[in-house]
Amino acid sequence: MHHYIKDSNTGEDKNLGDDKNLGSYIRYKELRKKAQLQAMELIAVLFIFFILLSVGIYYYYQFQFTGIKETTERLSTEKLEVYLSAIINMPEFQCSARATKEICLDTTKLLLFKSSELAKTAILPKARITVKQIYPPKTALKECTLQDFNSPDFPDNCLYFTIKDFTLPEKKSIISNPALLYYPTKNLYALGLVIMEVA
Amino acid sequence: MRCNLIKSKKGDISQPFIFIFAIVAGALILTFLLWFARGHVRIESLKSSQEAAFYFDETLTLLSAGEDVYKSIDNPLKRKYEISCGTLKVEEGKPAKLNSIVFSPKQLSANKLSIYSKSILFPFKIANIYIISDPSKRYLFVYDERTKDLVESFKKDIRVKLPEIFNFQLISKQNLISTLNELTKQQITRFVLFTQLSQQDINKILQKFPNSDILLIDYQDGSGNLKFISKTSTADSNFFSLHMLFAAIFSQDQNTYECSKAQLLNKLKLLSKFYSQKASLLNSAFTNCPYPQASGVLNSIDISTLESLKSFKISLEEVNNILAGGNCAPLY
Repeated sequence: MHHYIKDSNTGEDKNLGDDKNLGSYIRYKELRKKAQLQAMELIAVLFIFFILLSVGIYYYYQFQFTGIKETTERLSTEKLEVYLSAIINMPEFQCSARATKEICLDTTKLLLFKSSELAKTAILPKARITVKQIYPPKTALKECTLQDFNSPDFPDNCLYFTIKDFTLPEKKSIISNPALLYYPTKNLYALGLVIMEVA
Repeated sequence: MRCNLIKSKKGDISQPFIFIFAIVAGALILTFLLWFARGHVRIESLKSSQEAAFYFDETLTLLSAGEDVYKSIDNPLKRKYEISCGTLKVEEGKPAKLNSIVFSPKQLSANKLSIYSKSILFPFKIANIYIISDPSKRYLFVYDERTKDLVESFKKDIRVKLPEIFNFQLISKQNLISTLNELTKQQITRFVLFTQLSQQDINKILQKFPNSDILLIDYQDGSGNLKFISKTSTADSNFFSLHMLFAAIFSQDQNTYECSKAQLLNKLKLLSKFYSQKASLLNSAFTNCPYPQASGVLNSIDISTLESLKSFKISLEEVNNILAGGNCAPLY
């Protein structure tokens, strides 16, 4: 007895031959189904594997970036602290008596620095840097300028010197260091603070 | 028909197919993991290099607090530092701008670095310079009868002593000539000659020590002239203070020395202008003080020759002494 089957591609009837051939055909169909299932399984496993791998990579990079960001922030803070302690030793601000180093800041240099050529080349951090007198206390609150310097009531007529101006957002952090200020025209010393404000 | 059926029996040949597929997929995943691990190592190494560069620069900035200080930096790992005129590169990291004026060999590869920081006064403080070397670089200072005291003072005299963290030895001219053959067994970076040698002897040194060079020094009372001699070139330069001489000794060559010296002299020029502004400011507060004279000296600075630099220093010292001696605030 001959068996026929409709070909799904051509629509024609296909002769499958006798019973023996029919058995082979059924076995072939079962195995193809099994192979298809196995292939599907494999694809599913690979799909899940790659999803898990992608999630892993994503979190790994997140972790890495957080680490790098934290290191950068830590180093930036350290750098600011180093700069803060270095300012007092910079010849641009430091007092000296006949080339002998004194641990103080020369206020005439502080007044002149911002508008000098040195300010363009000096390597200072991206921060607002000011020097404020804290003792003896002052009633004046304004920045010291060249006009204030030429006034007879200097240094009582102003409070602080700006070394570097920098536009800052509202949220900022402030670090400071005490320093001795020297007023050469009056031969006076006062206690001050070097203040660094950063975004 | 039968043949076609066998050909289409994918289920039967699926096992080898799975093996091949597993090998290909495994190889791909392994390649990916190796690539990933390599990337991770690269990122970590870059991070570590940048951190090392940061700490290097930070150490220099911190050393600026001292007038005359030295320090050794010890690294648990041997690192390769590349310093060239204001930039620092550690290993394969990005070159970082140095905030300090550094005189050193171009490449340093060691666990230990020797750093000497010295304030340069001319006559006011210009900046701190940093002389850097590593113990593997060996310098031989050659003296004669005329320069013996000077060269020995680099080892003994506390006022001009070169820190012992630097690897340098003293040898007399006679000893050098007589022991030249024995010295070839040793690694010498540079022969620093505080004496005159004949051209024949210089050629002999260059021939016997192919990896070394020569620095010829004509020292005259704190300043002088230099000649950098290598197998391929000869270049002249000068120094205006003893510490600038030390700077030249440990610099890679005339180019790197001149580059860092130019940075220093440029700062001197800017500071002179700044002190001139200070003199004008003080002039309004102190009448009858020679601030205009001081301004004149400061504005006339000429950094092009050694003589003009010396004359600037003397003139400014004179006027500052007058200011300090009277009822005037000194400039520096």
